[in-house]
Amino acid sequence: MKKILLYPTWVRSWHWINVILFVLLIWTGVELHFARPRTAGFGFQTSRVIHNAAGILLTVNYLVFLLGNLLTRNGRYYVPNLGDITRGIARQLRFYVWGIFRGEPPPYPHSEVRKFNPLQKITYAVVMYAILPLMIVGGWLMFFPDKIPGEIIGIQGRLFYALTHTFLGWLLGLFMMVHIYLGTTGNTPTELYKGILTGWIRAHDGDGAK
Amino acid sequence: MHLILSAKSAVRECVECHTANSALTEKLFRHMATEDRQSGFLNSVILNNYYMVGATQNKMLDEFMWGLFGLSLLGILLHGATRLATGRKRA
Repeated sequence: MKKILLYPTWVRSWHWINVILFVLLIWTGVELHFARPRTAGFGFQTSRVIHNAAGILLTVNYLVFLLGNLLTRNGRYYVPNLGDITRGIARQLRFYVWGIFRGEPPPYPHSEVRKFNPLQKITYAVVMYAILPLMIVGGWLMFFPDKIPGEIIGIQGRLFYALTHTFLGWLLGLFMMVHIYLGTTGNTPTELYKGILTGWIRAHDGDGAK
Repeated sequence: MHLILSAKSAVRECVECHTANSALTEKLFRHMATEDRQSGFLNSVILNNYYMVGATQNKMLDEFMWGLFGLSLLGILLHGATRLATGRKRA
C-alpha cells in the first residue's frame, strides 16, 4: 500500500479555518441564543461581534470551497455513485455497526479516485451544498432585518429566518460531534487526523473497493 | 406613561431583555395574563411582533435538540467503548 497526497494544502487550510470558525460560531451562537445575565463566556456584546465577524469569514471560506471545487478535481469526490447509492450507504452503515468491531477492513478505502465513502459523500454534500448555504444566506439576511419580508409561510419573517438559523446551527453542531468521533475510525485511531494534518494518507491502488 | 427614567436607572445590560426571562415581557406586555405570556414559545408576546435574539427561544425545539445531542453523545461513547473492548479481545 502506498501513500498519496489526498488533502492538498488549500483543502487542509480550508478545513482548519472551518474548524476555528465553527467552534467560534457554535460557542457564541449558544451564548446569544441562551443569553442570561452573569454567565461565564464572552458575554452578549462580545459574542455578537465575534459571531458576526466569524460569519463573514465563513462566507469567504465557503466561496474558497466553491471556487476550489470548480477549479480542481476536489468537487468530484462529493458526487455520489447514484446507481449504487443505497447499497453503498448500507454497506458503510453495516461496517460501523458490525464490521468495525470484528476488525474488518473498511468497505470503501481511500484511493486516488475516492476520498469519501458513500455515507460521507451524501452527508458532506448535504452539509456543504444545502445546510451551509442556507445558514449563510439566513445569517446575512439578519444583518439587514428590514429587508426580510414581514411574513413567510404564515409566520413572522424574521422569526422564520431566526428559527431556521437556530435549527441548522443545532444540526451543524451535531454533525461536528459525529465528524470528530468518526475521525478516529481509521486503521488506527489517529490515522485520519494525521491525514488531514499532513495531507498524506495510505491508499489503495485503483478503486480499492471489494 | 410618560415617565422618563433617570440615566442612573437606564437599562445597560443587553441580557436584561435578550434573555429567556426578558424584562420586556414585564415592561411592555404586563397587561396580559401570565399564561398568555408563557405558553409555547418563551416570551411569546414579544414574538407576535418581533424576533429577538436570546428572548425568542422555542422550548420544544431546544429540548428536542438537547435530547438528540445527548443521545448522539451516548451512542458515540457506547460505540467507542465497544470498539475498545472488541479490539482488545482480538489483540
